[in-house]
Amino acid sequence: MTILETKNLRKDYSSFSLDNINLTIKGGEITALVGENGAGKSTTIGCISSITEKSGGTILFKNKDISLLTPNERERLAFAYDDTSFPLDFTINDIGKYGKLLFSNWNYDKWNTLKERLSLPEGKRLREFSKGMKTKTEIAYCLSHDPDLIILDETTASLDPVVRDELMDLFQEYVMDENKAILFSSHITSDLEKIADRIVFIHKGKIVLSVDHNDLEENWGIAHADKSFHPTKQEGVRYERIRPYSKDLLISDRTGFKELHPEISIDDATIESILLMIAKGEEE
Amino acid sequence: MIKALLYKDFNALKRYARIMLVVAVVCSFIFKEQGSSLIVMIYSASLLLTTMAIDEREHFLRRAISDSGRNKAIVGEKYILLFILVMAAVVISIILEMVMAVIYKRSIEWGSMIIIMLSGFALTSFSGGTTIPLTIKYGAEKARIILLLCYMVPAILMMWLLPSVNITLSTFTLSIVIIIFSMLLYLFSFFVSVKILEKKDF
Repeated sequence: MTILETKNLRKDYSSFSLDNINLTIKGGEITALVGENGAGKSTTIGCISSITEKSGGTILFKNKDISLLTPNERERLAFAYDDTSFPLDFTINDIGKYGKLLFSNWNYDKWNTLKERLSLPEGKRLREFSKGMKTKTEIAYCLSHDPDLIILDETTASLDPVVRDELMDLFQEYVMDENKAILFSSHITSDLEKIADRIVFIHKGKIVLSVDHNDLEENWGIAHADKSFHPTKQEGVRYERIRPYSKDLLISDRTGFKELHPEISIDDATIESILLMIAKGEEE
Repeated sequence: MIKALLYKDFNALKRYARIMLVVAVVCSFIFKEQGSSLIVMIYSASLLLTTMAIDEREHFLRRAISDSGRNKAIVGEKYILLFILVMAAVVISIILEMVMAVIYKRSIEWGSMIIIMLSGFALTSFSGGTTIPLTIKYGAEKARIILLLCYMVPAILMMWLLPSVNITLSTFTLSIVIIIFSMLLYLFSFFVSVKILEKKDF
């Protein structure tokens, strides 16, 4: 089931353009949007959330144009940022009351459960919260109105591994329901390795690669060839990066490549290594 | 949605409202002859800018737009808030004037009080109607300077124009003129603000 779809999404700035982004988010999946700083991740999310006016293209949420959603339909979408956006004088209970007033499907039981599970203190004001606490509050707020899609924009980027691990568990539980999905933008690739089902790489405003995580783990690799090695198109080389003494090749079929070139060593392709190949290498 | 936004703003304004009450009481004694209505109204309307500064500091507009995508409601709430703040100032001013009348054993001059409150209403409508779109566009810091200009320009214009204009208006006519002027300004300002918010990138 497709939850969100962008078709030829564009945003033009004087020095940067988001170039025909076609993205499909399916139910029961966590999709990672990966790219270096300034690649276009936040601009893409900004266009989906309406905080950035798109220059062209279409965004469909459950097959309906996102700009035409009724307030109740819009509630099925949630966005979490890297910090809470509520006034610092707010307490957790104030956020609960705000959520109740804003969302028709605000679930107080869920909110209370999450408060307890994430150890969010009731009496303190947000100004007394640590960064991790604020992010956990943001996540609890998003989950408590029971959305079908949660979009996380670098939400966990500045958190310590313990808090991040806690949240990753929460996200995995959430997508156990096949009607729910997460779009997760981050450059902390270790988190994405743990939970992402599909990885979408974005570079200079373009989606350059979209790959299933299982496929990536099983079939993709980084080959370390001699600098004089010139692959043919049939060998499945997607990116090439020249190193001081060698040439790294991102390959999508490591078994096939190994059969053709048994002398070339191949490492596992991690999200980070692919990100580096895309950012610093050249597309074949 | 507007209820939630108002809840958020009033919650953020709690301690400022207490200060407002203290200012109002102190001003009533300092300006016991002239009355404190105008000061209370201006202070009250300036709380609107405080809420917008808080929104800006916490990136709240990003949250509000992401949650709802309803720019009209988000902008409209600020106008409703301004109206509520000004009306609260009117009520506080009347109560204080009555208290002062009892303390100093004098009668309440309703005529001049209505004129002062209408002036305050016109002034705060003008400043609010101008400040909201400009704050959305340029941010609260620059808007503080703009707010100052918003009060100065009409005041200077009135000082300059009024002596040369020979129009006598009854309190009733003046009330109607000010209310219509304020409503038109609110409407115009509201649509401009919505347009600005739609075009703004966060």
